Amino acid sequence: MSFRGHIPIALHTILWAGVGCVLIFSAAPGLYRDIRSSRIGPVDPNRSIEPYFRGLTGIANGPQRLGDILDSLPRRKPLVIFVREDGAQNVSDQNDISQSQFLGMLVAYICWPREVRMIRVNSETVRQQIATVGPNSAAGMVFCGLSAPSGLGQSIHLGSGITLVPAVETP
Amino acid sequence: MILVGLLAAYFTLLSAGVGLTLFIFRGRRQINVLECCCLSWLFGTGLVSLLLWICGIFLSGFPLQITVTALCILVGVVGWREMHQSRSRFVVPRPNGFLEWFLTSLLLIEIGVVLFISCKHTLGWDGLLVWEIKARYAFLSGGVIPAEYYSHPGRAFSHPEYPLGIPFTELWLYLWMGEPHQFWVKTIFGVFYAVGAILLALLATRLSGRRWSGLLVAVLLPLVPFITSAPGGVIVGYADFPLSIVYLTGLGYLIVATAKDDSKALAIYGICLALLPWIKREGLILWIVLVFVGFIASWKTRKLFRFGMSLLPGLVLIAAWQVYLASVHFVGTSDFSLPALATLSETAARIGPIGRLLLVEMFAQSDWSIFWLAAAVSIFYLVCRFRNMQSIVLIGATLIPLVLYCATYLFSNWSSYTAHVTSSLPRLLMQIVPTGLLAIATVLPFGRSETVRSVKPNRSFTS
Repeated sequence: MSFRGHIPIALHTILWAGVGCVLIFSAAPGLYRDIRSSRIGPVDPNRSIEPYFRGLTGIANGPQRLGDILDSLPRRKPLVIFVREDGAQNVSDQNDISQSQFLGMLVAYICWPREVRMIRVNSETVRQQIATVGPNSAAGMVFCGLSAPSGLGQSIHLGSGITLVPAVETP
Repeated sequence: MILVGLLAAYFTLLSAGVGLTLFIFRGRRQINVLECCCLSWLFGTGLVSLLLWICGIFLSGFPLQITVTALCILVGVVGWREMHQSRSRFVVPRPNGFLEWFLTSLLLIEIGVVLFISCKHTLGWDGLLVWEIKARYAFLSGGVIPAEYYSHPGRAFSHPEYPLGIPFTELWLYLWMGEPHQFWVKTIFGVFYAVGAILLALLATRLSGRRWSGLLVAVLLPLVPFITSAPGGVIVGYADFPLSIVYLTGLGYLIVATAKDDSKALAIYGICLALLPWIKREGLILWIVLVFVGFIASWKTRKLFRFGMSLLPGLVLIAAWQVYLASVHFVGTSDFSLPALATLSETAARIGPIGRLLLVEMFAQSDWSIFWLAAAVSIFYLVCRFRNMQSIVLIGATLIPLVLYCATYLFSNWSSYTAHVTSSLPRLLMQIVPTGLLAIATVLPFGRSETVRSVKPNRSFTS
């Protein structure tokens, strides 16, 4: 084959070798970081939910403890979970909203098989929404990433950003 | 005891998969062990999850577990007997030469690394609250998801309407381990990665005719950053990577079936078609794409009847799942409105911004490095140099999903459709990455213009 005949092969080889090199050099540092950071485990049944719950609320062994607390509420009534409504003004606000909604979902995940109602509120509508929950229709209200309004009765501060207000049975 | 249970779950699952794979391969003189193992995993997960769902309509608890176990072992025994009667023999592929040994070693190291990283991470948001949640609730209710889960709106965030392929594979592990163990359940995603990488190597070798080319793209797979380090990749327990592997497998065997008139490859294509909508709802779009390219290929080769038969399992499964959801009165959140011309005229203005967001995402170095640029170059090669059926199918299978996925955002119900695009498009793109690598593998060997070919006969890698 003549020199000119080799040019396309050389270009082809250079092109794909370049692609391979860029992929290797751009991804390898990330993979290396992933290998070095943290360790395997713990080999725990709640391996995924426990770190999330602890990260959001600061409660160690949170899923188990929350499950035990919720078991003490009336069994046949739903749990009402209040989370923050969409409508962030900035990135920090958006993160807070995402964390509030994620925490609400984790609470719903944990309290199975109890029925749940997830209500999205903002600081202006929270009282109106609470008023829509009948006094005897819920086992309790959980506020995720929100402060529980005063005057609801005894509230239990479970951890950072999570408050439970057990329903008070009225005759 | 947990580890014994885990091993038993894997054994029964693989027994079903091996049985089905050997049944399909009956009559073949040689069966590639790697190909058989990889297909066994895909088919095993599909079969076990389907059996759990179907048998769960009538049974629960221990009788359900025993029945599904018995069926798995029965399928395994039938497949094994068929293989012995047809006097097939297993062949273990061995690399030839320094380059193949080097690439094979790299591939094995990468598989080990991904398994290792996978064990360090927790399940991601969707991995926990969309997929694992179903497995956990089913486990706590004797292996069956209670109807209330589908009909109460309180847990609509977990998308009760999503299919059960992945959750019920997880459930199978839970049933055997005796508890919903979120550490050990993640092992299935590492196995999906290993199976995907090996199948990519096998299919790319078969399509390109060069084993080094197949091994090379399999080595490149984890170097696409989104696959191994981003939320939504292999390590966080989402369904997108398993879906991408089933799509790749269906496509690869479709091309083999078309080029070699291979009915066994067409059967594998048919099973993969059925599994696509069973793994994730977006699988329905990939199902449409594979059916379309399959129709074009079959029409050209005048094999439309056999092609039509291969669609039946998928059609039955899609219809059965919809009937089941209606029967349990499911209440779900609807992220999309029904496609209609009236809606389209209102949302046509979204086309430009969606296209721009697609390009921005594809050129996001942190997620994709230069993968999409390389895929675009390979498509350019296919258009310019390889104008044959294999190229048409590969180009269609890579580009049509992109168009369809973007088109779905025209009907997004989110208050900000751009937020919808940015939050979900990267995961949708990942579903096409193995297919893009298959296209790259096809054009890597220089100066080739024919369709699927065999490598040298003594190389059992592709047998």
